[in-house]
Amino acid sequence: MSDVMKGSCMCGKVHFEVREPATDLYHCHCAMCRKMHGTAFATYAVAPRDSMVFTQGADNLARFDSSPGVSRFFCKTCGCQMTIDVAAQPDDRWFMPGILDGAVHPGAADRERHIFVGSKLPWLHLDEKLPQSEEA
Amino acid sequence: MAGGCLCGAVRFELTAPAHDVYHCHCSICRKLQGALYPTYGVVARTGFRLMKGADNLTTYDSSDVVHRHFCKTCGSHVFEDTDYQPENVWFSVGTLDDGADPGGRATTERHIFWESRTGWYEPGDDLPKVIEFGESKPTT
Repeated sequence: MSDVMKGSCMCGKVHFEVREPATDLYHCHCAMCRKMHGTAFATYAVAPRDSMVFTQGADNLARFDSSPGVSRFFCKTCGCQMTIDVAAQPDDRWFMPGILDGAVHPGAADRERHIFVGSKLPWLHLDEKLPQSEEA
Repeated sequence: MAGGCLCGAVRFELTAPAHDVYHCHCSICRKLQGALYPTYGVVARTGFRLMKGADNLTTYDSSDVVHRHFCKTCGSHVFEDTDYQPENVWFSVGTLDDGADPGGRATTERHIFWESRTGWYEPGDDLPKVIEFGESKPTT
């Protein structure tokens, strides 16, 4: 994949580009991520931090530290969760592939997996073709 | 059942189970919650009580008739109101404490706006998958 991926929040105030394919891709079922997004699970891709650039509206992001060293950024206007920075991994940036324009694949298909399955909604059916781990 | 946002500023209680539950794959819902497909429960307004944090909510109108409420502090989308069904409240199922079952799934759980899904993730279930709202199309 060589094309630049573009994405935005719903209201369009915040836009970003990812200029390299993701290096990791997973679905997280932990209670924190579920509450953060209000969803049955959360899907994250990881890209080199330098390759993910906010092209518009970075000043419209609010920051919430969900744990020490884990900073989550969402649009102040529409509430879209957009990126995560982890202090212990300064070369990486997490983003949400569900907000990429055109619903394109973020890359790292060979890494796609479910994590924290031990915390998943008991009634949620998972795609059984993907690897699963109880925790990270 | 009780639920709330991640930071705890916004809390709610349900005194009735959901009477409708669906996973929405439309691009509006995906881009509002930063997910592949948010899951919503619909409950009678009389069965939904906002216990804490009304003043900590930001409302975003995703259309003229749909009003989404998220926590100003952590960004969690907690619930929404619509003008076309004022007697109901939509809540984000992922905000329920302890992964509680919202109820109503046996007869209603389905995937809507299936035509808008990302295409690269398959839920792997046998639930109905419908175009737009299927037969439950609201009056907008």
